[in-house]
Amino acid sequence: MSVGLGIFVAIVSIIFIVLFLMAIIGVFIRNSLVRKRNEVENTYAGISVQLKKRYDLIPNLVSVVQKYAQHEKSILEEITKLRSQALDKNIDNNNKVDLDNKISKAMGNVLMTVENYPILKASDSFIALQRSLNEIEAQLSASRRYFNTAVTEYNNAIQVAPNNFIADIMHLTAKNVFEISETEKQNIDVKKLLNS
Amino acid sequence: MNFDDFYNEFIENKHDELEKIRFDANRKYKANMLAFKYSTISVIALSVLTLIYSDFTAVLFLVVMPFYFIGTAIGVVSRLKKHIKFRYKKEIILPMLNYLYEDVKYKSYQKISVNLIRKSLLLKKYVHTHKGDDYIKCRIGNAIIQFSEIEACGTRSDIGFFNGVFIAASFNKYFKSKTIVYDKRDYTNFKKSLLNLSGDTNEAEIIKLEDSVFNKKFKVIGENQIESRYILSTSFMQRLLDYNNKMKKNVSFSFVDNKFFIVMPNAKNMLEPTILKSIYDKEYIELYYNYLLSITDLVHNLDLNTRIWTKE
Repeated sequence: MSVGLGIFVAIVSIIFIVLFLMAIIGVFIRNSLVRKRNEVENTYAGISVQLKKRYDLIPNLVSVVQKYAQHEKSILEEITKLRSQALDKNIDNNNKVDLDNKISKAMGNVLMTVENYPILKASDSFIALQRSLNEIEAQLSASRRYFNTAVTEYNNAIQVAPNNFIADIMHLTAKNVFEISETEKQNIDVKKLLNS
Repeated sequence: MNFDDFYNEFIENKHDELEKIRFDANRKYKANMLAFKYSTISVIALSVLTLIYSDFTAVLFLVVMPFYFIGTAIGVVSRLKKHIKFRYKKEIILPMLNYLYEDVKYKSYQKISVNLIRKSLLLKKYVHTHKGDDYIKCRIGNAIIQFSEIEACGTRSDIGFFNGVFIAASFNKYFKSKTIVYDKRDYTNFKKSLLNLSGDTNEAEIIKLEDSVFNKKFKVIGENQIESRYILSTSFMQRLLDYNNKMKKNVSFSFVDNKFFIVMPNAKNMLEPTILKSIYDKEYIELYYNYLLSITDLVHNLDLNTRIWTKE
């Protein structure tokens, strides 16, 4: 074999090895990004489970409050309507978050209304309901925190080099973390209501 | 709750037989220690002289003397401790426990169950056997607490690898998975794999929490990312940090089977009488009072009493 042919074979081999290594690294990065994207979707499903539990509590809340506070019909009708909208399967994620915030506000209004009805506030069924609501709020908060951690890791992963090249090919874009709305911060402080 | 109030009410006027026994024993102990000191000096002096004159008979006889005196001194302390230990715990420690806690069950010769220690997953090695005493079970508000001093031993049962206090408390939330909060100084990267391999945990992962100060101090391992965050709410993480800073020790926590476990290293054997000071020495009793008060602080600081959640 001539020297020229030897050099040619060596260069081709090196190129082949480099391409092979790049392909392996590419597959590794792609798999890692897919895992992170799936984790974000999983964690969002966790939030949805808790939101569903919260929606399931609404009919109970309405029926308990209705018994004692018949004059608060408009507030109860509003929350029932919002619940029906939230349970619609065709609703997209952005509208879901928006509706969730509206439901939080409406539930806050119901709980504030209860303040005017001491007999209702002291009733066993309402106390049990508040307890369940508190529990769901704590679990919802944990789910949102996990979602935010997963989203932060995913966003970091798709923005750092060389992952960003693969992320572009896969059309992966940054996702928003869950921010607690001001209305939610103000209105769903059940613990405060309980202690008042 | 105030130590001075407790002392004035339960201890101050007690100047009885117990202190007299300790005082006599202390006198004997001091006399023997003094004799040990002088006989040791004498033996050394005589040894030098006999080396010069090459006659060892006197030294062979005298060399026994220091051992006799030190043996007697140790014997005095041990007899005294045996004699007054039970009464000390009954007359000093038990009133203190009743003053600080409710529904107290105190077994001075017993220790917390080894099964609870194993279940907690807090100690770095498998606890084969354990030694310990001063088992206390009590109620502080709504929280049921049990704790004791322990010396955990590995497979070579005579060698203790951990000395300290082990606390088990009822927790105010229900949970199904296991979460362990290790002090970072006690954590090794191998620990998580070991827990999964041994079957103590089921696919446990590292839980990355949002609080950077908490992450600097602790390493959290859990079976369920959401449930671990449900237990370690942002306010609870802050309270764990505050408690840890207050104790100034490598405290680790775990949450298993709806129970909350805490281990705190402590080399000193607590709640024991001393021969060197008065039985009713205020400073000495205050040391034990503060130790027991730290358990009350644990319940209050970590808000274990609050039952606004699922648990009644």
